[in-house]
Amino acid sequence: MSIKFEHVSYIYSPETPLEKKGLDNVSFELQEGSFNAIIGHTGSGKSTLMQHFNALIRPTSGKIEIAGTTITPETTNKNLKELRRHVSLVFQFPEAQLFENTVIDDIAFGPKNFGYDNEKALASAKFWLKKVGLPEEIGKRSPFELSGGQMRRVAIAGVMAYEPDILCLDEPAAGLDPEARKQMMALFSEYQKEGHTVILVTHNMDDVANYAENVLVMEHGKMIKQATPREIFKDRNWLQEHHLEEPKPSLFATKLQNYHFAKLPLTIADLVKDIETNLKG
Amino acid sequence: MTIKEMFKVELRDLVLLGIIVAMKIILSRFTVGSAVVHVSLGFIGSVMLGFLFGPVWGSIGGGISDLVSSALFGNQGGFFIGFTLSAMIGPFIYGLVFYQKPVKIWRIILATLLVTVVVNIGLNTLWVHLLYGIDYSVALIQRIPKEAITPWVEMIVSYFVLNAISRVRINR
Repeated sequence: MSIKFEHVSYIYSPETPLEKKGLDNVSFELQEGSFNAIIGHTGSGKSTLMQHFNALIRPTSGKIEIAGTTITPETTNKNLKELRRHVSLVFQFPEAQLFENTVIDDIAFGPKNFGYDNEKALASAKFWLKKVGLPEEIGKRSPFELSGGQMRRVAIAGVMAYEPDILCLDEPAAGLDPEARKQMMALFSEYQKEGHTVILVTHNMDDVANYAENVLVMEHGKMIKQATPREIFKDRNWLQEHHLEEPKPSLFATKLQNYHFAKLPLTIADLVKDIETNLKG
Repeated sequence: MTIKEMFKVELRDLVLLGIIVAMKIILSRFTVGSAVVHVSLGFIGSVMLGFLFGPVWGSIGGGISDLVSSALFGNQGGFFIGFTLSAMIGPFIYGLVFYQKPVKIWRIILATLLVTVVVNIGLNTLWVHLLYGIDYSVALIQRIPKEAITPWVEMIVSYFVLNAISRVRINR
């Protein structure tokens, strides 16, 4: 089953002087189990789009099919709990949501909310604490005693602990150190390979090149392109026209003279390999 | 404690006071419950003001929150200084009972009942009587059913709020 948006539009504060179009006739389909990236500059509607995935906001018009649920403008708040159990959002700076006495309780809050019994919730909290790369001792501490990066991991563990089928992440690695960023991205990639769908909202094109299989480009509330990263980063003029960056490896590759590239390398690994072939050849 | 010590405040605390006042204003815009009994969440702001800043700064914060909220959103029935006084006395009582003391259930019951009787039943009824010339006992009877139910809800909420705040206070 796939995630389907059909002519979805969203208007903020309709029929008031503050009326503003958030999404404008957006249609696309995402395969389940894929790694998707949503890019576009600030104010292009990425976050608005993301909040539609679990019906935090509902379309003004159009239809969304996701995780066996159909969301229309008439959908009410009832019966959405099941949807939210399957589709999770990790907001920007999710560490602001921590509130419990201990780290373990904080992670177990989500699972308990979705009907896990106490023991199972704690077990899954422990498991995910380890998964996000934190030592078990931290579980007994207060989340407010941790460093920013540790808090981020705890918050993300809290969202992943009930293993949602679809995980939507809004800049999950913003403000993390390079090592932690790599670890978190690897965690999401692994989660996707285990058979879940990951949707990543990001400004970091290197992450897009490294992990995404499918990219949605947003501009002024419209979806202007859906393609593979290779397809997206192929046309330099198009990227500049829409104020999008290129991954650093491809930028570097174009600066190299007298080198021949079969296709533009998008990741560091590709770049290294291509340079090696060039030097040998 | 001398008068001077009572009014002494660090800039950082003053900024926090501003934030809590803002929170109180936002919270009072929300109500929970059914159509029959609805509880405004503004009391949470008063509890926080009293608990964190004590009676003196708490009541100053309460007064400011009423002034700012009427400036921003206006008051039902126009501005009346009596309600500003009510907004000050709430946090004042919470401050007397909660400030720098461990969270105890009897304190919560005592403070909430005092605020209900003094502010909500006593003063606010008086203001309505003065403003609209309604007979005091008539105004009182209108208020009694609501004020018989809401304090119990407020006590339960205050208990969780105070425990949560003291948790954050210990950690920072």
